[in-house]
Amino acid sequence: MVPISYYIMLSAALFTLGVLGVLIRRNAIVVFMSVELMLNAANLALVAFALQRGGIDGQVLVFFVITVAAAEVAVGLALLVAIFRNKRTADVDEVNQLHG
Amino acid sequence: METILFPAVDLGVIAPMFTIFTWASVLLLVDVFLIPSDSKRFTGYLALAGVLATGIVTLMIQVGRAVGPGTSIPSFSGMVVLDSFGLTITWIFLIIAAITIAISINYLPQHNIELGEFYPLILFATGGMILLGQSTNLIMIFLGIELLSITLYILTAFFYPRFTSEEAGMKYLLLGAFAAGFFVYGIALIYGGAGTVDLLEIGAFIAAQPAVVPGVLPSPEVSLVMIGGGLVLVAFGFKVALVPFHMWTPDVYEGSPTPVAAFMSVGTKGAAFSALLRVLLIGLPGLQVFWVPVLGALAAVTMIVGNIGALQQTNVKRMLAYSSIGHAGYILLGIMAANERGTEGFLFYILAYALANLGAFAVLIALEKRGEMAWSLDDFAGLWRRQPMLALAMAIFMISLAGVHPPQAFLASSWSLRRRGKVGRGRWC
Amino acid sequence: MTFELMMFLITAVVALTGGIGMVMFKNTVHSALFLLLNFFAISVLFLLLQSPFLFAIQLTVYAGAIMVLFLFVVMLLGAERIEDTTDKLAGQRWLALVLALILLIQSVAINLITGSNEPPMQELETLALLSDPATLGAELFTTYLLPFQITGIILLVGIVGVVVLNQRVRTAQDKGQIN
Repeated sequence: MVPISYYIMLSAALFTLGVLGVLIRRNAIVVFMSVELMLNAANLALVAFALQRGGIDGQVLVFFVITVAAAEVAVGLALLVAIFRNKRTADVDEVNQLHG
Repeated sequence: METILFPAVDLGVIAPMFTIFTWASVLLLVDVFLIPSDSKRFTGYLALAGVLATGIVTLMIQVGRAVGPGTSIPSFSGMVVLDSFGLTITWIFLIIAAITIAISINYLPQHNIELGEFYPLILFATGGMILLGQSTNLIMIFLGIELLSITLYILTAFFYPRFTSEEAGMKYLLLGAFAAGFFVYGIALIYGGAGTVDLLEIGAFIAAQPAVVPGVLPSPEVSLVMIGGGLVLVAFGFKVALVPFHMWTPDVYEGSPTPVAAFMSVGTKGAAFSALLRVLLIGLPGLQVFWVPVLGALAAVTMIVGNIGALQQTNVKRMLAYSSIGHAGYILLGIMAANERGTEGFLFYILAYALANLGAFAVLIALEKRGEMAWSLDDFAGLWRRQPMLALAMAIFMISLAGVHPPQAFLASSWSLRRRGKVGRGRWC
Repeated sequence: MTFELMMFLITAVVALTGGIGMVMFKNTVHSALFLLLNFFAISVLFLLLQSPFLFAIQLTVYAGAIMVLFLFVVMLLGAERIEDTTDKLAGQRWLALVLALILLIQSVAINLITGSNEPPMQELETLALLSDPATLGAELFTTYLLPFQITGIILLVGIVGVVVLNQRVRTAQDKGQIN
């Protein structure tokens, strides 16, 4: 069997990639996709730990996370579409009537 | 095919949130099918009635179950608990919701953004807050935070066609989702370490391990819980706007409709802090030596940056945003006290802060209504001559926000300060 | 090297490629496709971790619904042509890299702490139970009954939000606010 720690390593690397994507990319859609990568990394860790523990809880948690992520993506993309209709840009820096 | 045996559930424990969720769902339908589009204020009145009904149910539960200090009735496999802390914070959330709806009923048509869905969304968000106040399980806390946040993303972007509003909604959503990523990863690591996401069981797990002391490498499992706890703390930091994670706050408050900003400033803080309180006091009391210094440092930086930032603002909404950041620091002190007294002080403080802050926002709305654009601080010059009552009210709210509280609130902050001294880690500020 | 380890390594490389590609590529459509690759890889990992049900919903919900939604919105808006502008926050990239490095070191630390311990060999019965979707379903309707209901409310709020955010454009048009 593959040691669980390999999975945890992989999930940590993917999580780091997601954080990196959020911090260095300026395009709102790509930032959003990076967040999805972070959530997926967390899901991977949850399932791996569930196998290690021999319990089903980790898998149930993943189920909830996926559901919530779907709702969040729906709202986020609807908001993006609304913004685009208002002004044609999706760049978090270009959208800058509010000064940070 | 074996049959599924439903667990014994105690519906009384979730009665307040059950009432408000049901009311909100029905109100959505009533609003669409029965209320004509030119009289949407009736939806608002019905939503107020819903808050009232929830209040009555809460009272019935409180009296019927004789909930007092020390009561703790878990239900739904320990997902939620009925105790006096949860009920008290439920009352505070209901007051916040009622005031928010009341100030929205005139605000929305004035700015031509009246949609019936606004009020059910406020009710859903309030339900999420009540859920957070009662959760004793990390997955419930995650769902509560997400329910509250998703609703607030929508409400923040409600000010169509003002562009800053949608932009604020997007900013809030991206940062909120980022925080959710940290939260889920934190849950994953805690689950990996402790093998459970139930706060009581996590607490029992840590208590069963050898005591954790700084300088000694704890066991692998406890280390995982610690790292996970750190990530969860980061996520909470984003939600309540603690200092390294506060950048979104002024923009979001400025962009969103004023009643939503008011609701957000007090509601999110109260709910997220009460959940954090349970996580720290029930789940991770064994790691107190680690989180007390961290929270102390965060609180100190938050208070300093929040108050200095507030002084520099010329826009009133941004100033209130920075003031709310500063207050997050004070509330954190109450949590650090980590005992019954600290909890009481926390509840008092949240209530006093909620009333003062909602009041300040209500004055802003009243000024906007009378044709004054109360955006810049310059607009307040000479207000005393034009609107003496409002000026007086604003002064009172501002003074109480600045820290000279009405007696109870002052008591709360002195309690939390004294507790903090007793914990003995006052060197941080 | 066992067959399972080989499968894991190949999938892990694919997953990392997907992640890196998503962060690096300038074109949003390319980013989305790389993320899709990553989701596929993760679903295979779920299979390796004995959870066929999550494998299925990872494919249908994440790869099928969420990514299609992303691609649809990107193409609808023509956002794929928007290039990254230069950074306005000076030094953010460096800060990001430093933070990422810290996270990575932390993850290595986690690995060292947990050691390369083999998973405790689960009994064959436990494994069968774990990988049975019926177990998960039963759990959802017993222990996790309340969270399950709450996700329903979250989805309802999501639906309402999507309708509100795009309905009001039409309402405003009816009122003649915008052309």
